[in-house]
Amino acid sequence: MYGYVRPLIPELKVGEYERYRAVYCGLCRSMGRVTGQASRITLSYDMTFFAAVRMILEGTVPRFVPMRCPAHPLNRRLTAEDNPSLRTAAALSAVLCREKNRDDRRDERGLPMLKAALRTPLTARMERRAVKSGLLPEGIGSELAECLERLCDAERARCPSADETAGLFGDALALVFSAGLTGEAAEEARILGDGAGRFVYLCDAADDLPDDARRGRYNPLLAGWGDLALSEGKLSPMVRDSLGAAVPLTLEKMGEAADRLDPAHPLTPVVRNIVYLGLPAMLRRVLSGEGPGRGRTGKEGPGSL
Amino acid sequence: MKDPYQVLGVPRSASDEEVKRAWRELARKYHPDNYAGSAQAAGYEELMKEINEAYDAIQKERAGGQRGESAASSAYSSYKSSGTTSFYEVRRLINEKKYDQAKFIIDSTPAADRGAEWNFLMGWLLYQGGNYTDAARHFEIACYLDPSNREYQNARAGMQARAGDYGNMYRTVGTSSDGDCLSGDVCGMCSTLICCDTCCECMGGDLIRCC
Repeated sequence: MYGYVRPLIPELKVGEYERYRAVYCGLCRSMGRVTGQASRITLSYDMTFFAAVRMILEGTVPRFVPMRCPAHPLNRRLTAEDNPSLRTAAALSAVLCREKNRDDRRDERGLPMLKAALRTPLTARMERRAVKSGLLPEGIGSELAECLERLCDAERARCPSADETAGLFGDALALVFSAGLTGEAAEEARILGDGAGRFVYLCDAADDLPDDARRGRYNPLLAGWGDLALSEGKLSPMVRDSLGAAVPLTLEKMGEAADRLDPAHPLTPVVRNIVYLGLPAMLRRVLSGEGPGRGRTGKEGPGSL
Repeated sequence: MKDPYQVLGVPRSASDEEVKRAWRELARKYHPDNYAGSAQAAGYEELMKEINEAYDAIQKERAGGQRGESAASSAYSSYKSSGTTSFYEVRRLINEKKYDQAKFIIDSTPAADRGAEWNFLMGWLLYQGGNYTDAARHFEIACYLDPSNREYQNARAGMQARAGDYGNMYRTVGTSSDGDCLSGDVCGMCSTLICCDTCCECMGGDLIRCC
C-alpha cells in the first residue's frame, strides 16, 4: 500500500529480523497461491505487519523453512510456510488493493490516474480470486467500500480536521484487520488496524503536502493549516512540531494493544518493535521530508533513537 | 449566516419530532433560570434566544415550504450583538468537565473572535476528546498568535513531553524489574537471605547457622 509501517531494524534481534523477513516472504508466497502470481507485486510492508498481527491473534505459529524464490534465486531464504492466517491476510490484502485502486481512479488526475487504470485489470482479478477462495468473511468488500466512500465524501467536502479523515481511514483498516475474528482478538485487531490506518494517512498527508499544495488537491493538513502549512515549499516547522507531538499520542492505544499480545508468540517482539520504534522512526523520516524511502528504516543507526 | 439546523445540532433530514426533541433538550440545558444569579445569566439568555429563533425558523420553513433565512439571520445578529464572546465561561465549563456545553460555545464563536485564546481552548477540548492532531494544530496556532503566553506554551510542551514518552515502553513490559531485592527471582532471594543473616549476626543472633 504505502510502506510506512516497518520495524526499526537495528533494534531487532537477529532472530526477530529473520522471522520478520520470513513473514514477508511467506505472505508473498501465499499471495501467489491465493490471488495469483501477478498479485505478488502488490506486496507491501504494511501488509506484512498485518499478516504478523493476524498470526499472533489467531495463535498460528508458522513453520519457518528456507526456500528459494524467483526474486532471490541465488540463496535460500527463511520463509513462513503457508498457513490459514497468511492465506486470509493475502485475500484481505487483495480486497484492500482493489478498493484502493477504485479510489485512485476516481480521485486522481494525470499520471497517477493512468497508473491506477493500468492496475485495474490486475486488482479486479485479484479480488475475484480472493472472493472465490472462500477465505473472506461475507460482505467485507462492500463494507470496506462503504468505509472508503465515507472518507471520500469527507475529502470532497474538504474536511479541515485531520483527525476526522485519518479516523475514517483508520476505520477502514480496523475493518480489514478484524475481518473474520471474534471476541477479544477482534477488538485488539481493530485497535491495531485503527492505529495503523491513522498513522499511514497522516504520514501520507505530510509526505504529499508540498505536491498537493502545488496542484490544488485536497490535503487534510492543508485544509486545516491553510497558509501556515508550508514554508519555502516544504513542511513548515509548526506543522512538523504539531505532528511530532500528536502522532505518537495517536499511537498510544496501539502500543497498549501491542503490550497485550501473546508474549510467547515468536512474532510479538517484531510487532512491538514496529509499533513502538518503527512507526516513530518513520514519522521522523517523513517530517524531515525524506519520504518513506525504498530501503530499511534506521539507516541513521540505533543511536538516533 | 447561521444555519438553524446547525444551531439545534440536527441534520436537515431530521423529522419534526426530532427537531422538537433537540430543541427541548437544548432549552433544558441552557435555560437561564438554571444559572440565575450567576454572572453568565445574560450570556445564556442570548444563547437561549438563538436556540428559540432557530427552532422558530425551522418551523416556519417547514410550514411555509420556504427557507427561513431572515429568522436565522436575525438570530445570528442578535448573537453577535452580545459583544465579544466570554471565554471565561468556557473555562468554567471545562473545569466542571462539561465539555459538550463548552464545545457548543466555542463552535458558535464568530470567526472574528477566534484569536489565540479561542485556539487554545479549542485545542484543549479536542485534546480531551483524543483528537490529538487537531489539538496540536490549535495549540500551535495559539502560540503563533500570542508567542508570549506561558499557558499556551505549557499546553504545547505538555503534549510534546507526552509524545516523547512514547516508545520508552518498548521491552520494559514483561521483563523482571531490576534492582529490587524482594522481586522474587532466585539471585534476589539469595542476596536477601544473606543480608538478613548479616544483620542478625550484627545484633548477636544468627539466621543461617552455617555462615
